[in-house]
Amino acid sequence: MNKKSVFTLVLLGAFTLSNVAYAELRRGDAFFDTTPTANYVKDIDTYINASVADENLLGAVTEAISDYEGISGANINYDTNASASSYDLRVAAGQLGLDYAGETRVYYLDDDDTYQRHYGTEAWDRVKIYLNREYMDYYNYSSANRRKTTIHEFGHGLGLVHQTSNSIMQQGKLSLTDPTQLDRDNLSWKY
Amino acid sequence: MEVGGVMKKSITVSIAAIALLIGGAFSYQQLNVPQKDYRVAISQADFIQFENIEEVEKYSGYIVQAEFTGKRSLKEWNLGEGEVKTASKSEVKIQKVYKGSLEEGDKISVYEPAYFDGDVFDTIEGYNLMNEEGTYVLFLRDTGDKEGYAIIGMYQGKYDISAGMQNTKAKQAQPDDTYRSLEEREYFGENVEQFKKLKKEVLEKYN
Ligand SMILES: [Zn+2]
Repeated sequence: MNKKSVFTLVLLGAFTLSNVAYAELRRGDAFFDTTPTANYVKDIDTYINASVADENLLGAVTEAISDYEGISGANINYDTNASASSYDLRVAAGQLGLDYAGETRVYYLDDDDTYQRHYGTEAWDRVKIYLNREYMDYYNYSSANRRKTTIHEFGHGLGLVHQTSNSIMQQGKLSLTDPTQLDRDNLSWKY
Repeated sequence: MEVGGVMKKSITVSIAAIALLIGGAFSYQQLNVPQKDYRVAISQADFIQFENIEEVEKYSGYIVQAEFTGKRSLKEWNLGEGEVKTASKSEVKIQKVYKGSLEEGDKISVYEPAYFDGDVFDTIEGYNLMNEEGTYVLFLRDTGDKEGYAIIGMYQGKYDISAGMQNTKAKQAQPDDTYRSLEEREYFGENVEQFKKLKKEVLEKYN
C-alpha cells in the first residue's frame, strides 16, 4: 500500500466517524442494547393513573397509543385494562420540582419476583412513564410540545434511543406530534 | 492509699487496652471492609437542551454560589394510586447571590434528580449529586411546594467551580459502570460535549 492510499483511508475513516455522530440511526442502532421483546410489545398491559387526566395529559397519552398501534409494519398493541398492581406499562403525571418534561424508567423482575430498576444489560419487564406538568407549564409548552414529549417517552418504552434528526426521539421542546418515517421503519424492522 | 493506687493503675491499663482495641477495630475496618458500591440505573428524560448559559440564566429565578452542607433526605411527590416520584432534597449554604431574592448565609433546599435506594444509585440522565468538597454555581427556580428549589435543566444548572476546566470530569457512563467508578464525575449522561460547553461559559462568567 503506498502513502497516498493510506492517507486516503485515514481521511475516509475520519469522514465516516464524523458522519456517524449526525446520522439517522437505523435498525439495531436505533434501539437500546436491551429492549422489550416482540412478545411484550404485541400486548402491553397498560395502566394509566388518574393523575394523567388530572394534569390534562390524557389526550396526549391516547394519541401516543394510537400512533404506535397504527404503525402497519409493526405488531404493537396496548391493552389499557391493566390494574394498578399488575401491568407492563404505567403512565403517571404530576407537578414535580424537577426540571424535565417526561421520564421513562425501566425495571426487570429479579429471582424473587420483585421488580428492580434496570441497569446494565438486564432484560426489560416493566416500564413507567412520568409526565411533569410543572415543567411543561414553566417552559410554556404548547399542546404540540406536550404531545411530542409523551409520544417520545412511549418511544423509549418500546426501546428506542435518542436520535439527532428526523425523529420523535430527538430531545427537547419540539412540535413533532407523530413518530416519523424513520421511527416507523425502525419499529417495523424490530417488531 | 496502696490499694487505690493499684486500682487507679489497673483502670488506666484497662482504658489503654480498650483504646487499643477500638483503634485496632477501626483500622481493621478501614483496611479490610470494602466501601459499599451501588448499581447505577439511568432514566431517560425529555427536556430542553440549552445552547448557551444565557438561555439557562433566562429561565433562572435565582443564580447563586453555594456549598452542600451534607444534609440530604429523600423527597417524594405523590402521583396517586401508590405511585411516587423520588428525588434528593439537599441543603446548601449560599455564599454569593448573582440573581434573585436570596441572601448570603441562607440555607435552602434544592431538589436533585438522583438518589440512593438500597444498592442502587438512581439518576436521571446521568446527573450526579453534589458533594461537600465542591463549590457550586446553581441556577434555580421556585417549585410548586415552596419548600425546595428545582435546578434548571438538571445537569445544566449545577456546576462545581472548585475545579478548573481541565480538572472537570464528565464522561458518559457505560452499562458495566458502578457508582464507585462514576462518583468523581460531575456528569455522566449522553450530552457530555454540551455540558462542557456550558461549564466553560460558567467558569468564565462566575469565577
Ligand atoms: Zn428521551
